[in-house]
Amino acid sequence: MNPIRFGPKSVTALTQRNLSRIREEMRTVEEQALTGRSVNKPSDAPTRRTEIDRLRAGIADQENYSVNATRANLLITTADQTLDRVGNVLKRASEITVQMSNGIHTASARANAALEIQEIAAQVLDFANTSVAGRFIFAGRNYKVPSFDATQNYQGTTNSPDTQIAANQRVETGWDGQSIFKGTTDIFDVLNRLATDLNANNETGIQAKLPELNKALDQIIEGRTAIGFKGRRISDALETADNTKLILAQGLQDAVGVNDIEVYTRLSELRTNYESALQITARSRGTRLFDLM
Amino acid sequence: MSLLSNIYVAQSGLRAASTAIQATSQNVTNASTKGFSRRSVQTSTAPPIRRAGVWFGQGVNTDRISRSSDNILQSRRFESAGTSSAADATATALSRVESLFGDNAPTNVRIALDGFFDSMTAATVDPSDRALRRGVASAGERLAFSVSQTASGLESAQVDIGRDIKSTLPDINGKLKEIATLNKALAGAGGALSAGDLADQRDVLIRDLSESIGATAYLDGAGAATVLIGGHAVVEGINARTLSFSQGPGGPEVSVSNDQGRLNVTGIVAGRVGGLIDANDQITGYLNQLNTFAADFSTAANTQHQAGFDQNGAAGATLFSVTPGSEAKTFAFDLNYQSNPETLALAGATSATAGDGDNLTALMALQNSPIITGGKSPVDFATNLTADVGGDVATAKALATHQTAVTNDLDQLYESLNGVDLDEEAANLMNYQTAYQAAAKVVRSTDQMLSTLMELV
Repeated sequence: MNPIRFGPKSVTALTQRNLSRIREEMRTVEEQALTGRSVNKPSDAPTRRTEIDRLRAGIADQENYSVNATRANLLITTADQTLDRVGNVLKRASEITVQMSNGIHTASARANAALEIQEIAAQVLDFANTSVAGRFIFAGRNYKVPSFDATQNYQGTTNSPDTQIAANQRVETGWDGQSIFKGTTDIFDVLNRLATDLNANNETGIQAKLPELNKALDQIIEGRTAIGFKGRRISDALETADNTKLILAQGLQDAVGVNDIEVYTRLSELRTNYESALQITARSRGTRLFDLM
Repeated sequence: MSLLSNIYVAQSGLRAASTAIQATSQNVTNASTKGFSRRSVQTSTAPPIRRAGVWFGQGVNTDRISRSSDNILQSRRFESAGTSSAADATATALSRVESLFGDNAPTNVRIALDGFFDSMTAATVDPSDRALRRGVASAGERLAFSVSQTASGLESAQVDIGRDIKSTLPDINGKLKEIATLNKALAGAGGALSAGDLADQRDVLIRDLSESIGATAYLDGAGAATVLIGGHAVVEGINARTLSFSQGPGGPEVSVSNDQGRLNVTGIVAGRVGGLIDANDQITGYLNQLNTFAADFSTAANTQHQAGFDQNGAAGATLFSVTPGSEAKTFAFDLNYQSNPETLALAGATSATAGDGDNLTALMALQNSPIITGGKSPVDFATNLTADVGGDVATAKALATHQTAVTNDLDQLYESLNGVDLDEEAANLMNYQTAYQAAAKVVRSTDQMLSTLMELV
């Protein structure tokens, strides 16, 4: 049987291989410690590439949805508050109409009431032309121009702009002013004719405007309700985006992250192993038979 | 049997011991020499002669100094070295291109693609906003940059591989000539001590050629090597062929001279050159995929963009441009959109109201549409390509690690059987020294007896 020989070349080669192996693993673990990631290049986890890309893209998507939802929320909140004010001034117009329907009022009193109704009409026009950062919210998609011109003609579109707030969810960020202010009931027209009747001291005409004003108020309430629903969707979308982002971020951390304690413990072990290997290498080159001859 | 014949017998012992010591010193001084195999002395008892009915021994014959070797094990070592060298070369070459697909690389196509579509998602809140439009344009430029730079990086890697192979061939040709020269020397060396040294040099060269180009060899009775590459003889006796390099349409090509001119051996070389050629082929595959992506994506994006209208009400123009044949490298986003973002055709109608983002929505839908040849969406394509590269690199590294371990084990086994152990040589030296001293004692004793005899005369 052949004896097993360990000549200088074998010992050197074995030592170099072992030291090289430890150094290579140390380099990998040091990289993980520095980056905080176990996956620093595609070959570190090729079978998890789809998952990693999906998680990373998903986080970016949720951030985008959150930004869009926040902007949409501002527009919706503004629209809701504006329509609330429109409702208030229409109620005032109704009060005036109820008062002036009474036969005790003089033409002069009614003429003064007409001035207030005209002022209310101007207010409603201002409300209809509400803008947020130069964006007219009741102009549909044509939001760079006022919703209504000075003669109360609609300049917007009947379709609404929208923005993406979730993977398969979009929400309106502008509204059709035509349907809100001049839908079934043309609010401007009602107010204008009411002012005319007041100036003409036309008691019958004044009385006839009350049910129209009630319809106008209902129209505004209906528009506001629809917008309110969108607001709730946005709140849900914002909360979902935040939660989803946290879940995805945790998932990404689980996929590519490292446990700091484990990494630093392993690094410490490897450094100890390396020192030990160096010591053994030094001692293995010690006394040979030639030294004793 | 005369006293003088005792001296001749002892002299044969001195010769045997001194030859053995010479072999031991050769072993000790070459213990760390690359490719050296242990020497040992072969002795045999000299045939006895018969005088007056009595057989008298004639000492020891020093037959030869032999070189320890195992041709079968050697052949397995060389083959394994070639395979591990090939795997290592492939892994190293692919690792260089892997950096183009890293998560932090500016050339990461998937990240740039996600950024492009994310910019569109952001623009949905106000398609007329100039800053958001410029964001889309910037993201488009980054996408084009990532694709074109990745393609350029892949092509650069292929150029480097070609240069690497080309620069290796002169060394290989030199070694082939050296083996041919050694073959001639081995034929004339016979059983001389120098034959072992020549055989060591020959084996080192064959090992180098195995690692370089996957060469194999078989030996004749005198130890001359016939070297083959892919079954084609490149060294026969004192004749050596030459290898040459050329850049073919499919990549680097290696050919060997033969009696008919030149023979293309690109597909059958192994070793480091073979590993580099394999890596080159894989990189070509990545480039082809990227070219397909650039062509298909630009077509789909341009078609959709041209179906929309810009802020002036004009129909959209092209977003991306490519040159057929090098689609990925020439993949570019029209820089005009950066300075004139109003010309991005995000509206669905020619009236192009500020909030009309219908074509923007249609462009966003391309992200997950199967528009890339093979029915893949752009994001799936990008992820799959990155996964392919990562998988190929991981596989090559694993193969290299495994094959290197196999080669190391074979080397260790060979050294164990045929290498030099200093402790063993020290023990042998003591043994041969004692034998020499004993033989010298015999000579001295015989000389004293002769002197005594002379004094009697």
